[in-house]
Amino acid sequence: MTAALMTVEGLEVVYHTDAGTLPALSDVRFEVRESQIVGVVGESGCGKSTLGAALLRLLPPNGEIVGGRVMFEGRDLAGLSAGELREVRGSGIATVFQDPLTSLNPTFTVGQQMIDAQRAHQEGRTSKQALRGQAIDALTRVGIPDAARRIDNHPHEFSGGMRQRIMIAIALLHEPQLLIADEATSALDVTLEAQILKLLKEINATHGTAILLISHNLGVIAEVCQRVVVMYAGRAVEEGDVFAIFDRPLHPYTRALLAAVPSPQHRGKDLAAIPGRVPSLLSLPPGCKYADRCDHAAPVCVEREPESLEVAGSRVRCFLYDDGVPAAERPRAGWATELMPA
Amino acid sequence: MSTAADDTRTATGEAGTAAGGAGTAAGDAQLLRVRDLQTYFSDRQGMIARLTRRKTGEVRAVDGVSFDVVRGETLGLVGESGSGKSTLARTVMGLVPATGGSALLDGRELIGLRPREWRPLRRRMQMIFQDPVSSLSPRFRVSFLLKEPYVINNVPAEKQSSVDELLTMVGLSSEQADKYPHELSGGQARRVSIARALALHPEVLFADEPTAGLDVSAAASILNLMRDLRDRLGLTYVLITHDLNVVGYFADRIAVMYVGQLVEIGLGDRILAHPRHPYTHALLSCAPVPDPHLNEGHLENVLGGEIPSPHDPPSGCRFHPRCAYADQRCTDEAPPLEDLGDGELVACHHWRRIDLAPPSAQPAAASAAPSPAVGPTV
Repeated sequence: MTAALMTVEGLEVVYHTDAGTLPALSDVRFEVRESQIVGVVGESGCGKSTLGAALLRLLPPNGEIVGGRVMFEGRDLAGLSAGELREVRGSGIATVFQDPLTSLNPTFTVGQQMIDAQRAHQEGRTSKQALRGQAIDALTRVGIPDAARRIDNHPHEFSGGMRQRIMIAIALLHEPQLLIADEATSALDVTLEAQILKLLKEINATHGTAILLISHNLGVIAEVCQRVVVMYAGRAVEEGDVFAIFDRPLHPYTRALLAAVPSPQHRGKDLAAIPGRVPSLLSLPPGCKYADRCDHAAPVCVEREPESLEVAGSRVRCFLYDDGVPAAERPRAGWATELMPA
Repeated sequence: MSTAADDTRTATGEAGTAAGGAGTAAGDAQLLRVRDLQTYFSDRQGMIARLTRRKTGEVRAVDGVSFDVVRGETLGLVGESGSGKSTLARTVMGLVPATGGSALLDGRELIGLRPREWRPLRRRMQMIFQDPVSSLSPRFRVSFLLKEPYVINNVPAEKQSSVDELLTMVGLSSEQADKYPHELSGGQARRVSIARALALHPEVLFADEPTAGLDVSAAASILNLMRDLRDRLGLTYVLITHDLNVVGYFADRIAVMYVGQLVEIGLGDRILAHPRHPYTHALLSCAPVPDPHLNEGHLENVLGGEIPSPHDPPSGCRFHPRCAYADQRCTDEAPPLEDLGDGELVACHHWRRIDLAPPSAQPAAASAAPSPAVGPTV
């Protein structure tokens, strides 16, 4: 097994708003190992994007990391100065966001922006010609045809799929060890999505770049990830191997998410939609945040929040598996019986 | 220039008399009959171009499309962005003027109608638009938005459904009546759009990406609602989506569109298990399935290239530059939409010859041989 590249421990993030301080992330912990692809999945409002932004300290001005650590190469990113962060961004960790049109500057050519990105992270002076050559190589690597000519085009002259490839090329310029892709394929057609996923897998295989893939699409997660973190209301409610998560989900929320995906096999039957909604951060219930939508909730689930437990090689936050609670007061679920403590 | 359209017309025209129409299983129950529909947009919208009436070029968004919709069925319309799905729906709905062709609703010609003539027919055909929040006016409360169709159509009060009835029908509580669109969640806004569309008791509902932008759970409950309404009200749906999981779950028949033309129509089960057109096969093979066991080698044969612009479509078969099976004939000659009977149609010169394995992403294909290389050719 490879070594841990990034370790997130007890990460807490809040947003300061007029309505008060909102807990966006609470005690999130997981790790990304070298060359690993880790998926983060959940409904909107679960804190997936906040997590992606917090790891690189790209939170909006009203967001703040108030607890926990993000260990990357022996350093805690949460405590780095702006200058130190700059070293990590780009060469250590790079990001690709959902909408490449808002990430690229419309007034500059792709080449100018790529050279700027290179200069921003370079110590000595490299000639513009050399940087341009590197940029063309990078574009060619991600499958931009005729890159030597296309590099002088502006972002609007590329299609959506090509723009996303450009974003990936820029992210890879400094050969980062970790690439964070936040809904990087969500705006694309299935064919382009598959092309980009294929590209990410190739980059992972050839360069050993670890990837943190944030997506609401369970199909995308199943397609490329080795490990999966399931988020709900700012908590990592389950974390485990991709086969464990999809074959034998432990948390009732993970099960419900998987059951709600339409497929030809469900034809003629009602889909298992989860009742209710993700709770607003303004009014989070005191106990398990999923309790009011959960089929198995017991009184204890409403009273206090479950701890993160290690069960069958995964981590899960659910009283189903908590032997600290008397068996009679624990929630019960037929499908989880084998793993439930006696 | 328009050989493709001509071919299509011949093929489906003959079929119309012989087998009861393009893509229809039972000819007598067809509610909507579309023949060789064309929607061209002028390339230059500038003042000079309009004044001089100079034809500088045109975008053939819908280029000779024929299909039938049977009463009570759901026809799924799939294809990549830019294939013309939404324009096709908007043209049939009369929201975009057709350039040519015919669309019959219960035998009544819709193409070329004046706005006044449209009004009684629009009640029978409604549309749920793509982005529900922006398609609901932000300045009005839900209660007014639900009454608006009655005002526009001068429906007498005794024939109107109450706001409460409409809200209940789509599973919303009466408290939602006083809200503004921005106060609704994505799923709720979608329900209001559906209620608004149903206010006039339509027979056909065009649903343009009804689950796009929704979380998996909210999407599931919208699909449940649409199924329930179909059963209760006997609605006929034309479901436009790029989500193949949704279409596989919901549609009885599937029509696949590529650069303004239909390339394949058939029963949903058949298309998903045994697509005939290489494009259908490639599209299905791309769809990510939430099962890590089925993904081994799945991305190896991903369809390369991008959908060409309808402004300058490729010669011959429009799919030929991306197709692994294309030969000289495909470059030269547009394949007609061949009617195979029983509502099965396909537009490919080689479909009889080529042997498409079940799409790799479909669960049925888990143990099957790897699909043939539908490799990048662009």
